[in-house]
Amino acid sequence: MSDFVEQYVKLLKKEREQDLLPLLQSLTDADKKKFVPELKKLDAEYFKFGITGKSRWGGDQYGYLSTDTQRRILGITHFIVYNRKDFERALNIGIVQKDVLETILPWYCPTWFSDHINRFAETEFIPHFIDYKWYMELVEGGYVTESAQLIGRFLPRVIFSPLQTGKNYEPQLLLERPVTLQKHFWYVFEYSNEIHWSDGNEQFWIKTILDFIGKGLLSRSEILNATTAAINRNFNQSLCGWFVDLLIQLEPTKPELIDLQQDLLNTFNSPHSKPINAALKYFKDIASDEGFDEIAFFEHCPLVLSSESKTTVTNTLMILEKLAKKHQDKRNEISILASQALLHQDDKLQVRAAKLISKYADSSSLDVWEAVSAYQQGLLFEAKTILEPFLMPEEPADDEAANFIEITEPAYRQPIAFPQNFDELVYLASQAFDQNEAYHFDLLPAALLQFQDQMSEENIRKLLPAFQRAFKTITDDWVSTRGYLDNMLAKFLTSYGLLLIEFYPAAARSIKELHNAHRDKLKEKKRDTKWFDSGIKAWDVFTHSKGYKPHKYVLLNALWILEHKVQVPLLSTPTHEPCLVSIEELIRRISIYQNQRTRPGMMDYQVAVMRCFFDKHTDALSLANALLQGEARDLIGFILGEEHQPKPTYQLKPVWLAAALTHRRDDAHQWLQYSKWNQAYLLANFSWSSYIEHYEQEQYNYQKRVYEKVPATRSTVTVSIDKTSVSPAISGIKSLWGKLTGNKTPVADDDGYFDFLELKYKHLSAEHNDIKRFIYLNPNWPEHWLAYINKEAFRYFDLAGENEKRLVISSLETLMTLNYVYGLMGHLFIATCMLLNDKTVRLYAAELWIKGVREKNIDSQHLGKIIGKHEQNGLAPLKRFTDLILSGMLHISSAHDVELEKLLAACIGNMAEKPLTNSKKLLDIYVEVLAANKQSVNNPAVLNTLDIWAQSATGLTSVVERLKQGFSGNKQII
Amino acid sequence: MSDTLTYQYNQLSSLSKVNNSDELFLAQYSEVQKKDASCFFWGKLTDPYVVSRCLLTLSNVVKSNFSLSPYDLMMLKDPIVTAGNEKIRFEGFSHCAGVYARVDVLGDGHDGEFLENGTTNVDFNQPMLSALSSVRKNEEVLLSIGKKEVALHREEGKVIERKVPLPTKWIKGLTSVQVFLSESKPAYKFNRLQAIQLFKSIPTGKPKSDYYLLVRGGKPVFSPVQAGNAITVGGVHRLKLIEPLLLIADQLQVFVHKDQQSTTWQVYIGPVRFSLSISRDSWRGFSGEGAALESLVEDVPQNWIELMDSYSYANQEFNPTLLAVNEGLDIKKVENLTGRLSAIGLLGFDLDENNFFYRRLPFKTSRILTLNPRLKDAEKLIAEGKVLIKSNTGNRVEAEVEGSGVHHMVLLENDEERCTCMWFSKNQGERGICKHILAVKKLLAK
Repeated sequence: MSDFVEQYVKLLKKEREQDLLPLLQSLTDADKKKFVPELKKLDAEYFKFGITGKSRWGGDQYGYLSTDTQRRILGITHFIVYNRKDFERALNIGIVQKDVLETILPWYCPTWFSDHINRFAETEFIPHFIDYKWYMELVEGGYVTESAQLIGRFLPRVIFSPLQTGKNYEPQLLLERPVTLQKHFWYVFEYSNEIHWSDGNEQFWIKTILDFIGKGLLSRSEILNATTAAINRNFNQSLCGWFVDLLIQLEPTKPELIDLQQDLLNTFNSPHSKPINAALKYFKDIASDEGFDEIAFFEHCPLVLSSESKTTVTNTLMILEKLAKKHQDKRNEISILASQALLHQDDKLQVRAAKLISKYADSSSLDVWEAVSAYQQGLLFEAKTILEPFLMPEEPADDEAANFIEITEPAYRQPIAFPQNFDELVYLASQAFDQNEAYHFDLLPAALLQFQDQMSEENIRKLLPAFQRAFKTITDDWVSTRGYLDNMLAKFLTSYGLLLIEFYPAAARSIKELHNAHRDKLKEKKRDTKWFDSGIKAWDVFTHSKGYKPHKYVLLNALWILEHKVQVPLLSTPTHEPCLVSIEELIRRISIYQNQRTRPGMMDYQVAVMRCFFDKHTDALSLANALLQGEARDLIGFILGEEHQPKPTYQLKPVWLAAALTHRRDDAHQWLQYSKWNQAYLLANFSWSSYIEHYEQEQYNYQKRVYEKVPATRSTVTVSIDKTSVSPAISGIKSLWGKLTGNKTPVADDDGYFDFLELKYKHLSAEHNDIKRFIYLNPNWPEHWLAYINKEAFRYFDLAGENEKRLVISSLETLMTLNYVYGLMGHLFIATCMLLNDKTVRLYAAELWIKGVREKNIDSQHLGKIIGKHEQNGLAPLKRFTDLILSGMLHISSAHDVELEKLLAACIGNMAEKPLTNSKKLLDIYVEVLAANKQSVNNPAVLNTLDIWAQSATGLTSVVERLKQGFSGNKQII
Repeated sequence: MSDTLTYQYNQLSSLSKVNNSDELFLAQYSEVQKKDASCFFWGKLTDPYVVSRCLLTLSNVVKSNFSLSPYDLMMLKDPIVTAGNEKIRFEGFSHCAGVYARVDVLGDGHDGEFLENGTTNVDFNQPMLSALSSVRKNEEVLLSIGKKEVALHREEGKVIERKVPLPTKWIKGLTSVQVFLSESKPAYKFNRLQAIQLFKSIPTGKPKSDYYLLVRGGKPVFSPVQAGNAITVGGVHRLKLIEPLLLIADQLQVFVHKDQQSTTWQVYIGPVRFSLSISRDSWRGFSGEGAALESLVEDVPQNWIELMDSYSYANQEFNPTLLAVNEGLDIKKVENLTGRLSAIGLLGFDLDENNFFYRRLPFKTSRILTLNPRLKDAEKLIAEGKVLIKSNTGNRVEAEVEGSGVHHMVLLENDEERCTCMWFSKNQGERGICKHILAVKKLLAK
């Protein structure tokens, strides 16, 4: 063996390829086995990659450190020596080729060779060097066992002879071997292949098949059978489509179609629409002929009648109609089948099906009656009118409650559990940064205040996992579900940790260790520790958005209390879901401050007032009378409806303002002087507009190789948040004097919630994870937040990224948990959401409308106006809106239909004079709603628009006529 | 590279014409049963069209993937079949292990003999599936799982091997999904029309938000809004897998897990049932949920597994009390047996009959047991002495478990368990207990 290796290595080094085969022929099977380890070593040496010289540009050039011939010698040796696994693993490109193997196979063929070649049947690509011709030579030579699947994949290339560039069409190549047409050709119909690519635009294959049939080389009937069978083989869309094309080009005659009908029926199971529609076209041709198996057709009908494709359903109905004409005895059966098309919320389809049923079905048949009435609820007006004899008389559906029996909203105003002992605080603290509940942000500082005197060494040890998470939250990489507020809360807890170290150095030693460990880690990573060492006072977001200040001030307030070891609670901690504070509890909390002669934090006070709710005025008032004195008593009385005027002695100015704007907006004017901001801003009366914006976009010009500015358009909604100071500016000297003398200015703008409202970002980073908690600052009137969301999120109308979607969906989710009367910004938000490019967002907006109508806190007319304006300005396709109505707003209850009518009237009244695409659908829905409400159009603006539309678009004439006729009845629009 | 599982089939599955009728031959392989290929079932299918449609849907489930996963997981895993007790059940998982599907061919669905009871992998290859899709209504099809005439195909003397990376998630999912099923209750029944209407309300694309199934005015809909009695469905687009079956369905029944952690959608088509169970979210596989962990707190003695094997036959309803009485086992110990046995792959759950049935997964038990990293971690915590029971008053146990850098506080109180670790804080027990609670429970059980 060593002689052989020596000779081989020499041969390899000297590249004597001509001597290789005689040398390898001398090896026995045992020798080969022994040679394998040596060969592997040589592989490692000769297939090494490295620097082979300098490139043209002066850099290093990389490549194999061996020559092409040496690697070829090794490759041939692999083929002879290795087993399949080693051979396939080794690098031996260009060995399995006809010219190379021709010299080897006659004297040696590895046992694995056949499997190696046949594995290409299942690989994604077949190497170009294996073709049908060579494969057949290998099969005929006995080297390879024939694989039908692989031949099926080769064959599409067989009618082309390869050229230097491109290929030459030579169909006669199919005739070289008799077996090709007799057997192999048919594998193309059985196994997945790429014949649709080989066919090209010139349809080489279809041409060949038709030609061969003409010449009698292929049997037409066999081709037809194989083609229909192939269509049913679950092939990919393109291949399946090619077989359909072939079938169409074969132009089957009626008798042939009768023979093929069972296979054609099976195409109804296809996930693609092309074969179904082709089959339906054929069935239309033969439906009235003798031999048509209508029973089998009926059996398969349900598969196509529920198709998403309108053409498919229409064609099926047309065939059913033909059959109904012919088979008098089966008319009821056909009508029952046709009723399945009533499933579609499409006027045309429903009317077609309804006409068929009313024409052919027996209205006294219980079966038909049962089948049709199953669809009663979803029937559109015209179909319903046609089908009246088959339907149950409708009962007046005034009982709104009945429509909501099965749907109840999540618990509103459920009490929130406050930690009852230190252990509960521990479990709250460890999950506080996970946002399992939005109110955990408020609960954690409140619970720490409650249990601040229980910070023993053992208890601190229990809190360590929470401290660890807080340190991790502020030092680790950002997590996609985290908001800046979570980071702020973590900073608060670590700040409290530092306080504990200061208060109880021994007991809080473990916190100190944790703190140092995280500090060291940062140092190791060479990151700045300045920010880590600073407390919550220095906390800020990189956008410097003021919107985070209210939360920060509440936390600072809590830290101040902990620092001074005062036994008072926070006022703003929610007591009820989702984030409300019961006024009774608020009174009790304020009284603790009064008893301790301590002043509550101003921001905490404002948030508490904005979050408070009450059910029984009198109980709350008597509690306030019993527990509170002075200004706080007046304030609570004011929230509960008492008349109070601003007094010079009042200290809680921002709190009064918050109370007035949240709970007493009708009487708020006199309190607005407590803020320096203009009235429109404070009352959230912002103007908005939507339009198509023309701008210049940067685009790369490939010819000139430069970026160019090209005109472009984009949809936009702008909200102008006009925030101007109306109080006279205080000069620098005056303000310094004020500070020195301790005299405060009459406007308490330092601590005002309304000073800090802001949602500021260029690109959303984590604000979407905070929006819920922003809105929950004022759950009774979050209009300002909605104004900022409208302004920022809809700047380019449609939502571009996942974060934008998250921001809007979170806001919608939050609104769903609230119960407040929407203002201008709330309506703009919901109406815009109804037209956005995300179905979830649209459905959510529809749900808010449903809830708003039920709770009577939404103005449908206002929504309609905004939608009409958006549509008029071309912001969104009308189809989004009509689909939304059909899928989630129509016939929810009679009250909702009345509101929907108002919404649609306002929408149409605000739309352009030129009807948009899909206006017909909108008017169809309007007919539906008017019919349900038994109303007529009586709004002159709407009538006017309808007239103009009818004149400008002929397709709308009939529906406008129908609308103008109206529907008589005794219901009245309120 | 992870371990490899090698399917060894004596022949490929195929659908072929034999004497004017089709024969659907399913090649089988099991790594636990004896290597001699045996035939589990041989006989006619009553409604071959429906069975083919269901098997195609099952193949779509095992081919699907709803979360990002490395390439090696993308290789097709073969479904497994259990034959016995007059039922044939095919089951499989999506690659992401978040969708579980099972086809039950019930007593009326076949007319043939069960030559052997058992569970095995069956080869699902593309040509066979293509052929399956051309099975027409009212056609005659013979089904054979494994070859009846063993000698006949032995002549070919060739084994077809298909290697796939060991589908850890798959096997783990198969064991834990049974626990989810057993904790599910029927919620809604819809007729074909309602079901089609409902599926029409599934939004296009892959919605990231949860959807909720609710019935409004007698009409079922998916809504993005959480209503009080609505059923939570995360990754709702996954349901589209069964949409084609609804067209031929008689009924659709929805089952919901007690904590809304999964939903099961059972389609009834004559004598065939197709059930699709989807996990809480498209990025969550059943495999990672740890639902079966609690059942594994106590070890299953090897002799019980042997007993089960000799005592039960495939698809037979599992009755723990009967087993205890017959085999003289301690009844108290057997009480919790169902959970434990399904966790190691010995039981499946039938929602309609509301009972467990015996089916031994065709994978080595030792293999299945190594698939629970949380369990292994818990055992390691105990071995390293990191678990300290601080107080135990029967219904309240307080313990301290050493974590990385801190000690976690574990509290077991009146069936409620809590821990201060991140896993528990994040999931609040919804995705199985954490390794710390598991360690405390294991220590208490010793």
